[in-house]
Amino acid sequence: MAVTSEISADGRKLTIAIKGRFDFAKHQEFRDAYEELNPRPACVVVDLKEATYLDSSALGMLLLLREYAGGDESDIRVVNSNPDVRKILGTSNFDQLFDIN
Amino acid sequence: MERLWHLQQTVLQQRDLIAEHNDYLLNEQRVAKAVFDRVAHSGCLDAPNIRYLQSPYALFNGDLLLAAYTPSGDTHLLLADFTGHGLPAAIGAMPLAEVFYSMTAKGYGLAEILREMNSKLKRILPVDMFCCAALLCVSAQRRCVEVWNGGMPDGYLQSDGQRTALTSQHLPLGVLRAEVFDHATQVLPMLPGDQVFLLTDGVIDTCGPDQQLFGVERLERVLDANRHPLQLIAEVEQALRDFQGLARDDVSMVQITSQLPQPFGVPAIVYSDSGQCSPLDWSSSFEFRAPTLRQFNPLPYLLQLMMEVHGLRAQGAVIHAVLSELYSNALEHGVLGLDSRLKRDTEGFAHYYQQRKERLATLKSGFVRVSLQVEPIGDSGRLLVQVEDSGAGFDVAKVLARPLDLDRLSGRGVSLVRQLCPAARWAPDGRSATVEFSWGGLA
Repeated sequence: MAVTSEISADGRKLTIAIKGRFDFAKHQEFRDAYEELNPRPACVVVDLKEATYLDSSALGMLLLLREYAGGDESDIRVVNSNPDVRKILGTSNFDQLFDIN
Repeated sequence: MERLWHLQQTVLQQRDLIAEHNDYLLNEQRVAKAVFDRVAHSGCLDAPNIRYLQSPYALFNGDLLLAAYTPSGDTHLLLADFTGHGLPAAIGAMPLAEVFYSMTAKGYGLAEILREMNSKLKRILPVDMFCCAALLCVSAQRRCVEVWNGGMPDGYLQSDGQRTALTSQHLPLGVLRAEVFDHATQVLPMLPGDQVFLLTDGVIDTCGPDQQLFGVERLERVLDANRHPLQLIAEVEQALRDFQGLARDDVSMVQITSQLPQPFGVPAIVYSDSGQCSPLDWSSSFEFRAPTLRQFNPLPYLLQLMMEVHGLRAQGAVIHAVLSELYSNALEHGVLGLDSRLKRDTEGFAHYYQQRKERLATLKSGFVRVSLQVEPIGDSGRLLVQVEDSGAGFDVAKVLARPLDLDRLSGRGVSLVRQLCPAARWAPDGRSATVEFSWGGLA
């Protein structure tokens, strides 16, 4: 699986891990990872440790996730991005919307 | 045997269907492109100081390049890149082009144009679509360039052997709600002959045979090696070809050279009235106070009002340039008390505009007053414009004694006004300026 997800024991934290290229091909898998969870997790971690590349449609997918998780109220962390991926997140200034480290 | 025959029939049918759909799609794209080209190419991309490279099908890969003159002869340039490809990307481009052209023609600044573009895109695009964009105002008269970059790769200002990166400082357009959108721009000195180069990420993300990306370092090596600015785009194109041997279809680049406008050869704004009703005898006075000055640009409205006087339309560009200078002098040096000597070098320039932003944001008092008086004189007539401010004034005799120096970065306002409007007068205390424009036999 290129997109795997895991819920913490208390159900409050969802971790979604991406493997390989994060692009439009992962659209459906990425949505499936967070939609229809009940209860909705309070916090989402997007783990990009094994993501090699991220394109603008992946940025769009992150925006969809943010909307789903409560927009300005959402708590989303994007972690473990490699330098190339971080550069793309930086150019788009997505750190204004997501907690990126 | 019969099953095979049926199978073949189905395959043939499907082939024909696919071919038909494909023709249909291609025709739709052709028509859409023809419509779009009329909208997108109504500007000044063909001006001699602008060079660009764009795939003929850029529209369908989400790249958009627009250029237009402002009423005072500056150039607005937009390079944008929508997320996604195909029709969805093309749809957003249309309103963006409309906003760009109509607001530029009416004299709006980058801040207002950006706010309008952002809120329009936010309203019409789905959440996961947005538009990376770099928007410039290149002013050869004011010796500067104003830049906003949201999500585009670094652009480059090349000035006399020096290169300054124009780095993205904002989220792309169409992401943030209007209330939190940040239209703050950077202003940098840019002399006539200096150049700005912008590109889309298709350039640096071009993939080589071994999955390596072309990248910023290779691009900067091409910029370093460049000797003739006019060859730059061709050299980058060649480097991309050498790197991969396969051209991507979503590579866009543009280069603009700062160039003084040909003595206001800017096409006049086209008005849709019959020319029969023109107000010829009136006066009006406006006082813009602190809370208004903080966030509102009155120039487009004032210009529009003055252009109702048909006799003045031929001079619209000069009137706009003069009024813009008088207004920004009154606001920046008068009300905000900024010292134009700061603008002597690049660092000072940045400092000046930082202070401008800070002082404006916290402005509590002060005003700029604009008085307009139009009077008919036989078949001719004249317009008097007076701009006053609440600031401390300046030593008029001293400033006017300085030669009209065209190459100085600081103190551009007064010399520009004097060049464009030799009859300009300043009150001895430096708190008000008056200019006059005549038409008919008086001009």
